[in-house]
Amino acid sequence: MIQGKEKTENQCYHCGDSCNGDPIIHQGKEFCCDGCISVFSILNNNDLCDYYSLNERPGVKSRNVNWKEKFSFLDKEAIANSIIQFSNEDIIQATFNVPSMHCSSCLWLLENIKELNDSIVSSRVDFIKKEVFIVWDPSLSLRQLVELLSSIGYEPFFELDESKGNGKPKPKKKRILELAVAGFAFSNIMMISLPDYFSSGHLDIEFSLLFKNLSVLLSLPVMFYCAREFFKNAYMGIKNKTLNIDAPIAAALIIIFIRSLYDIYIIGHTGYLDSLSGIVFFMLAGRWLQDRTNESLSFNRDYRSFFPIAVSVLKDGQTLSKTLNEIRVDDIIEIHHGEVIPADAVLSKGKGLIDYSFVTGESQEVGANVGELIYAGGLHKGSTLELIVIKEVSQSYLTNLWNKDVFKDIANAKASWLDMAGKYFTYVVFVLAGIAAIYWINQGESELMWNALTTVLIVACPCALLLAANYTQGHVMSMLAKDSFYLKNAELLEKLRKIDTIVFDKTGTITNADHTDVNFEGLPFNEDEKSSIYAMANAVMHPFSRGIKQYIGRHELSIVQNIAELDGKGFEANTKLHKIRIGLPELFDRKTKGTIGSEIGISINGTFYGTFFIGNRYREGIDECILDLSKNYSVAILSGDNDMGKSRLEEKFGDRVTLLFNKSPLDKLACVEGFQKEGKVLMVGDGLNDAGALKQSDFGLVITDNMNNFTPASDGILDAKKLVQIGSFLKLGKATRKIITICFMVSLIYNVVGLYFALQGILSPVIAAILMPLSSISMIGLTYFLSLVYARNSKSKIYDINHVYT
Amino acid sequence: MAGGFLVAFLYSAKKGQFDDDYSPAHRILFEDKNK
Repeated sequence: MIQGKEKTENQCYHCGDSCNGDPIIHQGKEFCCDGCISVFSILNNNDLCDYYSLNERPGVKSRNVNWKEKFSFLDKEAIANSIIQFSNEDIIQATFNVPSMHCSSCLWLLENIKELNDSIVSSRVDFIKKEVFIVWDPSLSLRQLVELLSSIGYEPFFELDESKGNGKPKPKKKRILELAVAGFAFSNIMMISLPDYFSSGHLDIEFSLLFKNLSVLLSLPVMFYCAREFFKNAYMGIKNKTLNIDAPIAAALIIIFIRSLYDIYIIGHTGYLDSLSGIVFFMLAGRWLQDRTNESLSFNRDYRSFFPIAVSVLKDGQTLSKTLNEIRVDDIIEIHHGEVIPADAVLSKGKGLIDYSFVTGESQEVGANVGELIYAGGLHKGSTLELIVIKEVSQSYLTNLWNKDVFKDIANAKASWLDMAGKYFTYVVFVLAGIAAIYWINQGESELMWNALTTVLIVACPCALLLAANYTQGHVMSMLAKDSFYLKNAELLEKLRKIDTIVFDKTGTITNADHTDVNFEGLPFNEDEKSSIYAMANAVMHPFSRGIKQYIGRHELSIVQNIAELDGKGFEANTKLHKIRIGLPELFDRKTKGTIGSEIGISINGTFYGTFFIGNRYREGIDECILDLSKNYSVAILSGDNDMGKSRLEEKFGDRVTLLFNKSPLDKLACVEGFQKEGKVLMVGDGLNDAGALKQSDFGLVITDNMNNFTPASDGILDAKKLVQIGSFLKLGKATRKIITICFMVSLIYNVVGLYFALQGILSPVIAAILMPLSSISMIGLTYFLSLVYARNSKSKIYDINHVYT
Repeated sequence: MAGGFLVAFLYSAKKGQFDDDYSPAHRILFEDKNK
């Protein structure tokens, strides 16, 4: 009898995840798991269901339901004291970092947690920093409070290095302060100069002098406080014998300033302090915008933040909590489910299932047996392990990996074409100014000479060039980020542009690992058998457990004993009522039927019951997407599976797409290298078996089903749901250069026209001064407008997401 | 006078008043729970 597949459209009322066709109904609503139900119950019982009315499905799915042991380290006084900010006999105050808050419901709930426990006095959220400041009374311990937060889905995240906690906001704030001063000075100087401009000499001497002095006064902080980064950078550049793009800006600023002072005090005109402050203001605004977009991609460079900050250590039969730097070689540490291995260690008790995605980029879970080495950085899932530390934390494999230049490749400073253009521009401008000056001196027109010299330098400012690049990149990156496509840095946009080959990893990338189709052919199971199978699938560490559990449906977990692995082919275990064996068909003396996907046989108490067919399920719309891509790019699909599925794919793609099966991780890397001989390769993978290939490719894109799961080895992260839009992302990346070029052209026109007049000395400095901010403003508008237009154009058709393929 | 406002802005920015621009906007929309 064949039991059917299940469609999965129900969404959990709490977290919005799909219930996989098997929702749990509670109080008339659908939920995907017990975790979500428990949070809902807590909120419901405390009259906090406004949480759900503020936003739809605002919950965060909690993957870890057992908090009992996870926060035991908070009982340790030293650790608790480092977290608590203030305490006396009446109140305790602390700030917690809660990364899972993401909407106003979270904000609301966290500021209403006092409804959940009488000991909590008040709480206040800083949403931008994702922090909540809580005041509570000592009848509730720190650990209990943290457990409470976790139980509603807002688990606090603890970083080892508290000194780092205040590092980030500062640069941003500095910029805002500089901007504020520059903006203030700019607008006020402009206001003050108006009387002088419009009075054409009829202004009272006193007022005139007053305004001039005020302008100078206002411009001082602009020059010496707001603009100092330009001077610093230009100076650095000159020290290195290069003229970087800040050099002409610095030169222009200095010249304007000096000329203005000269103009004001010696000649008696108004000077150009308004454009001076305007330039500074706009430049800073551009830099600030780029900073903001860069912040949305935050790679936490300090690996220590990923580790639990204290580990349970077994000493003389007792369990103690030790902080990371207290762990020594030969310590026996206990690692619970969901915890990260803090140091290289040898497994001494228990069965490990380690996820090394942080270390290698592969999120394949690796089983580990007693005696095996487990590396720091791995995430363990399963029953509690005992490990013997063999390397202290500071020396572990992870640190070596981290300090290798793999992650430092941003320092690889290939002079971008913009920098080069800027450099030449500068030379040209200086030369032109010099020529004009000499010419006019020869003509004996000193007035014209000064005019020409200064206006040439002012008008021909390459700052529009820099603005164009900064702003365009900023806009493009933020537009991409809105669609869940995060680039590691702006320079990668250039790399995207050059891509002509796209390589997809099949499993988990174009197939959806979480929603596999599971069929079963064989004898039916009764309830007891189902319960046993479910328990065993849950206890046994194997990727196919997921598929089997999904098929059987949720059951209460019972005890599973005597788990034995059968030569890598399967598992055997005893539950209360049954002895079950699950594994490859050959375990049961059967042949594989040669279908696509995996075949897992099962026998209960010695009787063969049947075979699970765990199939591949392709992401919606992906085949159309790939077909479209093959029109403009060379596309290839790599897979580690057998080529049973090859014919199906061949049917779909014909010979437009290169299909390569049976590829091991090393093979995949070799394939990418091969493709690179003919072009630039974009590799799309999920970190499973393709980490090496990802690194090798010109652009490694990791897709994730959960945005917190990224790997430092990639160049970009993309939410799996948006994978089908990859064509548009590439188009937009290509368009970036186009946009910058257009803006560059426009700014060039400005310069040429301005120079035409400036060289003749007939351009009044006033106009020159106005032209510059004008070109800056129009550059801002133009970059934004163009980015928008190109973004809209590159959004190709919506792929039919209702058509599901197997 | 304008200078006074600038100083006020700089001071409050330094003290962190403008750091969180998301919460205050939403906070005013929440309803009080009258128990």
